[in-house]
Amino acid sequence: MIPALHGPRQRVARRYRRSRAARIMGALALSLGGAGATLAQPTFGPQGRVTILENATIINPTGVATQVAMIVLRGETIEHIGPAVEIQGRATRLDLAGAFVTPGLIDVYSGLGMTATRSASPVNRAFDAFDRYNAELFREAFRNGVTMMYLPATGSSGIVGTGAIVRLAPGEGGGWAGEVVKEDAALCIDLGSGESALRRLATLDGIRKQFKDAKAYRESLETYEDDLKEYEEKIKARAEKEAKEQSKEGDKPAPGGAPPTQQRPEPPQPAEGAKPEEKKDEITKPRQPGADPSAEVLLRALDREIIARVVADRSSDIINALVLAREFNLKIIIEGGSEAYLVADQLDEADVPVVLGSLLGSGLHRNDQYRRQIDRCAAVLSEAGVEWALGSGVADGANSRFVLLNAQMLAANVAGVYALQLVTTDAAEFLGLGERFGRLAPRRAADLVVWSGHPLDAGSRVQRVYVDGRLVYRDEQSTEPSAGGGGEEQ
Amino acid sequence: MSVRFPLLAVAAAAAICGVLAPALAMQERTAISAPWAVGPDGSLMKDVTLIIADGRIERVLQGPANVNVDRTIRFETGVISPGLIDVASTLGVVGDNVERKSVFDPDASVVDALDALSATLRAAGQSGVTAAMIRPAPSGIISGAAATVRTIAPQGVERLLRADGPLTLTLGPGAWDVDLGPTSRAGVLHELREAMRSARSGGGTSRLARMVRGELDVLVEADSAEDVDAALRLFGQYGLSPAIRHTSDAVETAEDLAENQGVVIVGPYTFSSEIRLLAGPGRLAQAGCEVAFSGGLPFLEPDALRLSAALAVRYGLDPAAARRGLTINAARAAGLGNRVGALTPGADADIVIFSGDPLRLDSSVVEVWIAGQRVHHASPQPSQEEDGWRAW
Repeated sequence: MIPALHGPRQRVARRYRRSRAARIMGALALSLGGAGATLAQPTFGPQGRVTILENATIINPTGVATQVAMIVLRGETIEHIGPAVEIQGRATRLDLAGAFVTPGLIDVYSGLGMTATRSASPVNRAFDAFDRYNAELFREAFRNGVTMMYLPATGSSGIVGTGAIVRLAPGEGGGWAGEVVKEDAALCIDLGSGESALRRLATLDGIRKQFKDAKAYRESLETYEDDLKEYEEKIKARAEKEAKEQSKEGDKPAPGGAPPTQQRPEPPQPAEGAKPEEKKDEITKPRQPGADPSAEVLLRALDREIIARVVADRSSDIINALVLAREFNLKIIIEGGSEAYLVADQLDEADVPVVLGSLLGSGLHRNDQYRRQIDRCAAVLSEAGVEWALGSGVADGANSRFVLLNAQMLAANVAGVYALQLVTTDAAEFLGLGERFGRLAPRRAADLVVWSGHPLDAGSRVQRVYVDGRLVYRDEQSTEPSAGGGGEEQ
Repeated sequence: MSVRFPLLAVAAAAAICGVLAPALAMQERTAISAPWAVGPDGSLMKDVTLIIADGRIERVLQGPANVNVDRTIRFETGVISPGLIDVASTLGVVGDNVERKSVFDPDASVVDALDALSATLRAAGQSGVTAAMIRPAPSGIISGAAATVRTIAPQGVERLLRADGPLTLTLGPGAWDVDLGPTSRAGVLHELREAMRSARSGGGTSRLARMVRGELDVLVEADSAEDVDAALRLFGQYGLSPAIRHTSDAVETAEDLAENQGVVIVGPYTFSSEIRLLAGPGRLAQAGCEVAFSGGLPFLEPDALRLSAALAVRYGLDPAAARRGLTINAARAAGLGNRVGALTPGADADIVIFSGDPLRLDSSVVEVWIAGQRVHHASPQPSQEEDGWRAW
């Protein structure tokens, strides 16, 4: 990029960011009723509540199980994991001998609690369609160990909105709210792989036009800024000139002692040497272009501030997505990607990752349908060096609770894949949240799941779920480990 | 189809050449051992050795085994399981699997619509589903005899395990037909009751007559609780205990179904199934029913059969009962309980070695054996030639 252009462009972008951030904060405050904010504050004194999980078995990312003497949760984070240490003050202690503890499961591609929408606009936000007061929905997710998910905006094809990362944190007073961990996590684009060929071409054209319009919008803003600057300079120049002339005229008579002429300090005459375009009448203030919120969202994608997640199943649509990304210098992820195995080399070359969904339903196909081969697709992508992640897909929000089973089905058919790692560590890192989630380690978020047995065994049950250090789910059917120590359970 | 001819040919060749041909491998006595196996009651048994001879399981030994066999195959890890059976599949069926000219087709046989070369059959076999009961589509009141086939049948091994049953009946909306009638629940019951009455008084050897005499096993599709109730009352009058396929209201009908003694076929369950449905198998087992799973093949992938069982376990079914539901109960529903579905002496050696518990979905298929012959083994990098993208 030409440095001269870089300056103003960045300035413009920064301004969007400010305005956008302000709007998000406002919207969050309104829509959540402060629930998200309250959750972040420790409820039990400055140190927060302390829970000590003793003798639980944990599993490292490659599947090796070890028993640890203590997992200490303080406030919203894991404080300690390892040998027994001295803990001062009030704490809830649980003996979890025989039980397993894993990080809360993360679904990188989910439709949980999403109400179907038909509209498609860059200003649509996924979280607005999330059913956040559905306690049954949360309970089902917890029953299967799921605590966090990326929710794409869905709708008809085209640019459909922005996706959000949501954590299933409880609201105040036992109500359910869900916490937005990351608003605007991605710009969601759907190339409509299920539609007819002509429809798909029209969709692609429409998307291209929207990006072009966004660029034109930015140019009009830049032109306006330049014009405004020029205008300000002209005004300033004229004012200086006037002041100079005034002082010149004012100085003249003083030495001679002659009284000022009858001439008032009128605007300088053209005869006095001023250029014609500096005439007062011709300095017009430039007109400010109207705000375009859709274009502003798209500009953030064009500036690579947010990633674009492009739903594309057919190989031809995936290629189209790659062309689109190159044309507009977008950072993209392919979502769905049923036929990604056919274009693995192109994906590798473009360094574009793929998010895969549910393995189910890839059985029968007719000639006019694309072939879904999610597990084989993952194997081919790995071999080609393409980064991929596995979620549950958006076909049915109910699928999200079984994201681990989906990962297990994939792991059965792809060598070197460990199902648990896919939906914890890998998922958190894929979402760019690896520093906070997806691992049992000090300073990570205290989102964890207690299982009655090995989490990959069919017969194991989720006994407890902690989100943000708080107990949000307890299985009534399984025998409870005895709670001891200084505190009562909430 | 017959197993006799190739054996005779091989014996003749051996007699002439004086050399054992490789094809004779199935006559060898083979010992297969693994640290775990699925027992006849569905629980996992430790340290099991199977002795296989003549395509059948000769003996099942537990603990350290020292037997005189021609070859020994030892798996250091993994679980030996009877081949899994999908009890309500349309695998390999060409075209429409029901006759739409009539609602009474007791003499139709779905086996006539089978394409034994269908790639979906082989793909199911490679996923551990070694047999499938193919049933006529649940429409029409009596839609003919189901059939059970092996998904993989090596040379010299019969593909068809059973061609003549059970007889399939449908109650509920599936049997209503605007053109052919009846069009209501009451109408279906009325016509079926009349047909069964006249079959009993008429005697003879028609399938319907044999059914009411209790000579032919029956599978009834009963979609809702009302249909289950009607089926139990109607067949109860004849002293029959049909296998009932019922998923929707199993939580409500569990007690009644338990009295019937027949296997209850449930599923398929998927990621999107409601909690109420998923809780069904657990409730049925609690009431004393034996359940068998249908996996929805080939509309879902072969692993979906194990998924149905795994989901049922997560929502309350005992793991051993779930393993029975994938094997012996399915065989019983197909009327083949003495032949396949369990690692017991005398049963066909149709077995699968999984890398772990078949209920654990990340367990993969290591080897598949049909009638004592190895027909599939997983390679670390599955080659495209071998399974042709699992060839769906």
